[in-house]
Amino acid sequence: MSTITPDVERSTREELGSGKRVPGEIGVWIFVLADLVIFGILFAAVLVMRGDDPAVFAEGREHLSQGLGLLNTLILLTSSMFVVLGVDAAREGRGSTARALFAAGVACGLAFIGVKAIEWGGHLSDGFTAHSNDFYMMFYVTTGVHLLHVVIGMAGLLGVRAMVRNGIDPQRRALVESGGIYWHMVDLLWLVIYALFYLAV
Amino acid sequence: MTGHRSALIGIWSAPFIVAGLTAGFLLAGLFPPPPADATAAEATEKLFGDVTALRIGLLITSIAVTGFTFWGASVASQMRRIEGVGAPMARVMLAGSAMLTTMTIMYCFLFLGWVLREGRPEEMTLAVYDLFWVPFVGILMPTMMMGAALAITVFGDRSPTPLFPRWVGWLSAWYAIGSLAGALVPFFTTGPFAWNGGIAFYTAFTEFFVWFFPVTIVARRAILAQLAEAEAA
Repeated sequence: MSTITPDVERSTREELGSGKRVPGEIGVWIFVLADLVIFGILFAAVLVMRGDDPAVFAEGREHLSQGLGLLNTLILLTSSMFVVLGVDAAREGRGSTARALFAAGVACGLAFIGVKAIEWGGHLSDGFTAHSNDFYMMFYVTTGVHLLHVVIGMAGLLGVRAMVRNGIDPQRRALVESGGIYWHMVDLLWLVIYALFYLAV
Repeated sequence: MTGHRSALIGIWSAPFIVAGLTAGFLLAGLFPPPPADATAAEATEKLFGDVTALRIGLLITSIAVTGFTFWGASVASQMRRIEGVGAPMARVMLAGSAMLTTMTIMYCFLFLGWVLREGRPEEMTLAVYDLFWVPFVGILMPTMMMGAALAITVFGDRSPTPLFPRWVGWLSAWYAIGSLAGALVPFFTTGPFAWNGGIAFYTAFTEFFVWFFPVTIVARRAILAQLAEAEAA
């Protein structure tokens, strides 16, 4: 008897015409959309507070390291590339390649955390805490919540990596794709955070 | 009465909870939440301004939250069908819902005890005010436990005809993570993360009900199906 649950099976068969289908499980899209709404509220709060006190936000941005921000952006973009290639390899049954690519994605996540620790450490040693002003409050909370998502995403990638050990059935394929979708959401959120805090878009 | 029907009654405590919390919060002045940066005089006015309304509102809130334990027990009864013998996650769901009930009642009665007599020192009243609001909004652990337990159970359901749709697992995982917003409450007295802030209070409460209502509907459907099966047998 198949152990593929109907929801997963249906999601993998979700046709969009001409053989296209919705990747991942339907549920992961609910998760992603709900999370994007929460981050959207957070970003709106940043914009409102910046509008109320543009000088504090401009001054805060001056203290941020543009180099470290850009480095973390490149790290996450690279990680997304590894994950895209990993999901492709998993779909094609190239288990060992997929495992290596997901491991590279996790390594990028670790590098991101390392860079973030250096950046936060620098700000804290300069005396800037979440209570210094509204800019730092929003900066620490937004990047902190994002960092939590990076950690969860890394755990997800490790789970996905373990899943592709012996090839993947349709249910596992949907889960592997779901792990990839979550990781791309983490990447997308960082791009908005980078633009909001470092580039002041 | 069969166990199945009692599970249905537990699920029907959801509208009782919502109606009770709405009435209790409004009457006690818990909604909208008062400022987290209140002075001692403002906190005193808030607590002793209309003591009778506060008492009745807090009592209604305390009674309404007992529904969470009934609700949790009903959802746990369905989780047990998935997990089988032992059912550790169903027990976590029940424990989480019982903790939510217990803690909310405890903090409501902290206020009720303080307003028993007039003439309390204002600085002490401000301390009690903080001791109520920080845990009331900030304690996220019980609902996080409930969300995480349900997510683990749904994702672990390997049946060809799962009891809960898998999106319930994803929604529960999202809620378990999102409930961490409460962790910011102890750090701020102003802004969106203070206990009366747009994110710590309004977004967090909305998140809870975005999870609570769909789970109620799905659990009710599972209980009804179980009832129909039992009657057909």
